[in-house]
Amino acid sequence: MKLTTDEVKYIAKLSKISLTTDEIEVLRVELSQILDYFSMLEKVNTENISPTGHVVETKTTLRKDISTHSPTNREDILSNAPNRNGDMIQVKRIIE
Amino acid sequence: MNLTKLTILEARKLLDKREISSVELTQSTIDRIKKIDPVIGAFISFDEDLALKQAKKADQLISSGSSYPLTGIPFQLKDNMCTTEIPTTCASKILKNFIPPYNATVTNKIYDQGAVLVGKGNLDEFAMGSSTENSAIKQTKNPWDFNLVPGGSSGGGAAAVASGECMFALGSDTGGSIRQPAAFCGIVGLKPTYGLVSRYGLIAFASSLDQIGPLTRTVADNALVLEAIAGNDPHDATSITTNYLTNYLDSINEDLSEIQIGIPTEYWEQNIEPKFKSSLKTVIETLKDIGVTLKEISLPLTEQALPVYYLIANSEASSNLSRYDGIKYGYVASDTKDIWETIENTKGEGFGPEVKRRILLGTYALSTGFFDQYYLKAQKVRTLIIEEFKQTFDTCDVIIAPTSPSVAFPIGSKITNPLDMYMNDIFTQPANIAGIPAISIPGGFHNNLPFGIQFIGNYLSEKTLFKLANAYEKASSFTLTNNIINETMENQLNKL
Repeated sequence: MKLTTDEVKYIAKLSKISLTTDEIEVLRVELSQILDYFSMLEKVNTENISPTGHVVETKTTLRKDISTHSPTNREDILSNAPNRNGDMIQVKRIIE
Repeated sequence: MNLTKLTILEARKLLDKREISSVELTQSTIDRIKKIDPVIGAFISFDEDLALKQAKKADQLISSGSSYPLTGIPFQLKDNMCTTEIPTTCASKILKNFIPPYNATVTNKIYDQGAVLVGKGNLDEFAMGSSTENSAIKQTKNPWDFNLVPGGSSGGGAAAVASGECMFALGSDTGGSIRQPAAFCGIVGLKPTYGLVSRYGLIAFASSLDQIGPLTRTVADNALVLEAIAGNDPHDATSITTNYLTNYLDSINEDLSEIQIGIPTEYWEQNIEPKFKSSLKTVIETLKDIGVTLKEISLPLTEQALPVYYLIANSEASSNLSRYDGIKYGYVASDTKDIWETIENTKGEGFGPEVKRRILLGTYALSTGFFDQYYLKAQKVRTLIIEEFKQTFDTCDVIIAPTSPSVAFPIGSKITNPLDMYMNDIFTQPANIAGIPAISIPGGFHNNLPFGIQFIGNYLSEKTLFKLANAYEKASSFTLTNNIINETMENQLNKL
């Protein structure tokens, strides 16, 4: 499995991660080697085998849609935002 | 008396008899950290005032005669578990200065017992790694030899517990991140059954594999800490609701003669350097002495477990880590032209190389055209691995295996070859894939360094694992409670 530079750029785009040219080249080589190693799974017969969901419980835990948290201080949340405007989190314009 | 080298059980007795106070115990721990941690590097953050405040409260609780097993005991939390009073960084530039608005369930459970948080432990960034070299904050060193890694990703916790910088630590184990550093540092580390300990407030890496567990100097202490943190939590939908036992410590000395132990050929015959293999095999002799029945078994899918693990872990990580967009918290890139460039540059500048590598691998495995070949295939092989363990536990109670294919390795020796580093987890990640519990305890020494031995059990068999580990610990005496072993460590630390 040999990844191309364009393939690495495409995966980076899907991941929303900016990469330098040097990083792309290093990752191209490393990811190719790792995927080669992973290809050993092709030899395992998985015909009629279901993929795993949860390893222990067989059913999904459900509860009523009511908040179970004690109220969190709004300021504790807002103070973590890198850019804020009063009581709002500020972001760059999304729709032109 | 060196208070920092007491076990939790010993300290408990002294505290309850008022022979020592929690303030004294905490002060000794703080002095120790100040002396050795500039070199060991086990702590990312350390809050002396907060610790002493908690110690005073603990002393009041003890005076009122209502202490819990962990009241007044100094501990460390891995820095991927949320604490409202101390930043939680995941050892990443992207979460530097992040102060969680809530505590993890485990934080609250330990606080409820009145234990004393001395600080947060170093880790590989987002718990991705086997040497703690991927931390963006600092390099933790192995207290047995400062040129060696402490293991990872819970390297800060293992180094701190081994060197007396705290009495216990909580780590997280996604593919061996509690057990392998415990093995490299000569202490006890447990990965409980998936769902036994709540993951609420544990910053997610791979949600179907992550599990919190204790790092301690003895098996009995480990049982005590697990009792404090186990239990259903409505805030974690994967928390188990089935009945489980929590009186681990009470049953730790029960008879073992009925226990059958399986020795899997695949774990003992491959990938291990011959001299290390002969050191490892001394463990089998000790086990024969404690009167358990041993038999050879086979787990043919052991080799395939590694790619299954990395495909699933990285796929889940690529989804979990998409939240670090520089908007709500954490690092944000500057001088960007639009929102998309802000997100891409925030991640590009904020994540380290291993985290980027894993996100890219996971994204690839989940992408159109490759989903069936990689992710779905891995989840199907996972089903087969689970089935293999189930069948094995029909024929034996516990599996014995090495924790790691080597003892602690030199800093810098594997970091440039990711696949080589991944191979380190070969004996630990099958338990995460199947969700079953496994404990690593000191098995002996090789080239003057501790190695770990692992007992792997069926779902919710922690009680049996503790019994067996306790019997091995007593028969072998390789823990830091052994005076000769402790002195070796102290001689090393006295150089600082």
